[in-house]
Amino acid sequence: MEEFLKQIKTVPGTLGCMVYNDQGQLVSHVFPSIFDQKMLSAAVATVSENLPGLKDYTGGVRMIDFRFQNGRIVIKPVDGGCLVILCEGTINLQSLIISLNVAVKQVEKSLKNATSYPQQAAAVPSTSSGSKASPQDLIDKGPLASYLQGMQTTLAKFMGPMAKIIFLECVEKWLQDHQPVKATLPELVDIVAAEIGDPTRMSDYRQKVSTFL
Amino acid sequence: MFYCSDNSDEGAVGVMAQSSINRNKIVCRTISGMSLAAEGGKKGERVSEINQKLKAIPEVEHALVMTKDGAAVDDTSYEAEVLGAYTQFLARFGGKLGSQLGVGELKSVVVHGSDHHMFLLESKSHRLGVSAKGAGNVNALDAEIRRLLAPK
Repeated sequence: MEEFLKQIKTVPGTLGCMVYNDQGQLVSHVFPSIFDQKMLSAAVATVSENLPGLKDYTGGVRMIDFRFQNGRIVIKPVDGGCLVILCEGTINLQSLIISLNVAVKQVEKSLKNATSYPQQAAAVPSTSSGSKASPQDLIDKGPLASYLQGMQTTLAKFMGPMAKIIFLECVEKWLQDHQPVKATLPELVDIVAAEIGDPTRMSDYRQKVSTFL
Repeated sequence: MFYCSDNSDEGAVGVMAQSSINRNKIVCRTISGMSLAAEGGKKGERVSEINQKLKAIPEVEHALVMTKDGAAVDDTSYEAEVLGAYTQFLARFGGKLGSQLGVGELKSVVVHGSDHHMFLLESKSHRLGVSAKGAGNVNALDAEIRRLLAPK
């Protein structure tokens, strides 16, 4: 899914792109790290709650183009979900529409193939529990291993050899409330940063980690 | 007597007529370079004339100028009430989404619908809602509406 979103993001002036499923759950996104999970989930909630309200009047929404003082938001409903694209005000909308038309089929196919967030989220823990995958396994060989290891290595620069143990505890804590998918990594960053304590160093950690997340 | 004056400090997308009714006078002030503006307040257009102008586009079904608190200006029809309600809804939707993603104030919206398109244009204190037939090309209609409202 991310691949298709990245394809849309290649249109000059596109800042970020996300897709949610018909349950109103964020499936995937390619937004810069400045847009955290909460922000994107709130936007998804707004779109998914309000979009049906326009159906009676329009007979079904094919696309919405919101123009703001500092940008543009394009909403493109697809079968099984909806795409939300954030762009610069100067974007060539026609270029974006062409890219969208190309990507929509693939996005719809991906949504149909049950790669949705909750299903994916549900699948990961069951796989984990089924195969007795521990937080350590997730760090070592899980689908997010490269990100997690990067975060752990970065933490070591701030906390020394204790970083490995602390990071493991953070991952355990993160897994209690979140699914181990890329979209929830910002929450893990929050948990880890809180362990550092010092606001300046916390901010430094966040900045370093954001470069590879 | 009514007059219009131009105020083009709001950016190209904030095309709207700001109007107020004072006894028998209608004062119409354009915002962001709308062409309803006349020179020096000597000539101008009523809000209903904005509607007429937009309705000259064959695909346009209805156009409505309303205050930001939802009161329709110069139109008491049922169609205006419905369009007004959806225009307000769309403005709230866009406003909330914009603040969540930090892109600032809403300027305009284009809704490409299957049966009907919707257009919303914002100004400081008023908004313009337009509905059009879904058979029309939404981008061409958007351009045509802006062209008609743009300063000449």
